[in-house]
Amino acid sequence: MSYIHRTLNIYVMISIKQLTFHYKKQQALFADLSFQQENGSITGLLGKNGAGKSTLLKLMAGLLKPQTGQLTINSFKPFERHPDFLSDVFMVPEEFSFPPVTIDCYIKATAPLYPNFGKEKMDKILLEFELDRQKNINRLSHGQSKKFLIAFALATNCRLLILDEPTNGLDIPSKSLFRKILVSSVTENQLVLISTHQVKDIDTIIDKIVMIDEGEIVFNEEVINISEKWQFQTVTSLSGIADPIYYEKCPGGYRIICPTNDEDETDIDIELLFNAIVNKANLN
Amino acid sequence: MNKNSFFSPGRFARLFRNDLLINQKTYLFTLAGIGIAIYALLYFSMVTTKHVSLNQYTGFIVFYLMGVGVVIGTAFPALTNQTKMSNYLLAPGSTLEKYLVQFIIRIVIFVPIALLIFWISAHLAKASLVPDPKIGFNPEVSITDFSFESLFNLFYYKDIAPTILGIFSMYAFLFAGSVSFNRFALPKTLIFAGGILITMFFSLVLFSHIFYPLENHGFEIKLEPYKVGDIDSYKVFLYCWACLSWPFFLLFAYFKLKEKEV
Repeated sequence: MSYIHRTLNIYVMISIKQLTFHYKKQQALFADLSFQQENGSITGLLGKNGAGKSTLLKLMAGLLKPQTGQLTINSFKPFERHPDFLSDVFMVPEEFSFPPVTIDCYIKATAPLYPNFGKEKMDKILLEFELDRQKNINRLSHGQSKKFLIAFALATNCRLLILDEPTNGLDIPSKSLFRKILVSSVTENQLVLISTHQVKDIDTIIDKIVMIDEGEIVFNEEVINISEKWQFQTVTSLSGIADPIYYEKCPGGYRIICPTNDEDETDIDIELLFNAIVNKANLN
Repeated sequence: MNKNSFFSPGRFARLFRNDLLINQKTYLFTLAGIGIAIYALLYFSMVTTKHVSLNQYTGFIVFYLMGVGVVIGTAFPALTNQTKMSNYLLAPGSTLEKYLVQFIIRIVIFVPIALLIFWISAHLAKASLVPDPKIGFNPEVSITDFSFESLFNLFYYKDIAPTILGIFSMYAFLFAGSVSFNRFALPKTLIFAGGILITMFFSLVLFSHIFYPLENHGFEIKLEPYKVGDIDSYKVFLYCWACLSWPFFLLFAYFKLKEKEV
């Protein structure tokens, strides 16, 4: 295992140990949170509203300071905001704003701050997203400016890309384009952390699912393992299903999770899996 | 200690260039705006009063320097809202570099340019006046030529350095305020300054009542000045404020920026 890790240059990129965090005059959002994540994957961070997903991303980016515990990203403490750390992490926040300049001017001004910025990659993604370089970013629609922000984030080639609700505001063709571009742009040296409620938008591109609930990581599993362990099916009736782990009524029957048997692997229904975990179904 | 984590000339140059490219229009419009405003004010004053002396220029420049303070008090515009603040804090550069970019643009570069604009505006305003022999108005005679040198001649030479440092301290205070308060930093800084002055006033009133209970009435302040060398204690107090407060405000601003959270 260690040999494979060395040859693929896999290392622990995110290391969180016994982290606690609370906003001023509020209850602790995280108490004793521990989590590790290696590079080389696209990880989906899921959780209910207020579970602390965005806060966790802000802590990782260095926008918030944890009260206690250890948090390191690429061996840097994020809140120290070391320039080398900042030039290797890019965050696409849910809400964002741009200065009133053209795309071209923004790239000219900001790209030199990122040492690994790929100009050709940027041009290619802009072309794919059909964005005109001469347009003022502030005059673009919300979806278009989001596409530009995603394009810029990918072109920075930062080792850690944090995407908070990246598909919010994107139209249907743009969502599928986003998936295509993301998968083709990311290298095994990078880690993409996507926090979203729109699980259907990312279910085909993520390698790992991390779920957070009540300030704790309640689920942390690679997609390949999930497929091996559980089956996700839609059935007309529960009769004949031996011990479903979790089920939900749906039009025309039930969506169920059950242990895998000799049958073929099924596509993962992340929404159903999420509900199963939130409702504390026994997945072991 | 890795110095590169505090300051790298190349990285600083890139951040500086980034700021200029992104905000170039804002800076140019600001300079043009203050130029037009001070020209109009001086011209209007010269036309209506038909007379401007060096003392009147002093009044103008005091108000002008307060206006310059507005530009300094609105430094770190990215800190006014959460989304801009995130972008700003995550921009690849050290806190010192980000701090220096604002300090250099808003104080080191802007203040001398603003003073040059005042000089140009004062001369332009005078040059735009048309002599009117009917009322005996000749701008060359009635309007004093403006120069900073003659302005400084109004001071005792020993007061020049404390005056300049006093202005710098005021700017450093406004600069620190722009980092400390996120939204409406300038009004909040001015309110805070007002609060300090009111507290000082009432403290002096209180001490006057404590130390001179029989001689003091109402909100009167009774102070007993004394000589320190060849200057009185009031001046020593003011000089201390003027000369010693700016390093405190500048350091305070740096650490406030370093500890900024979204």
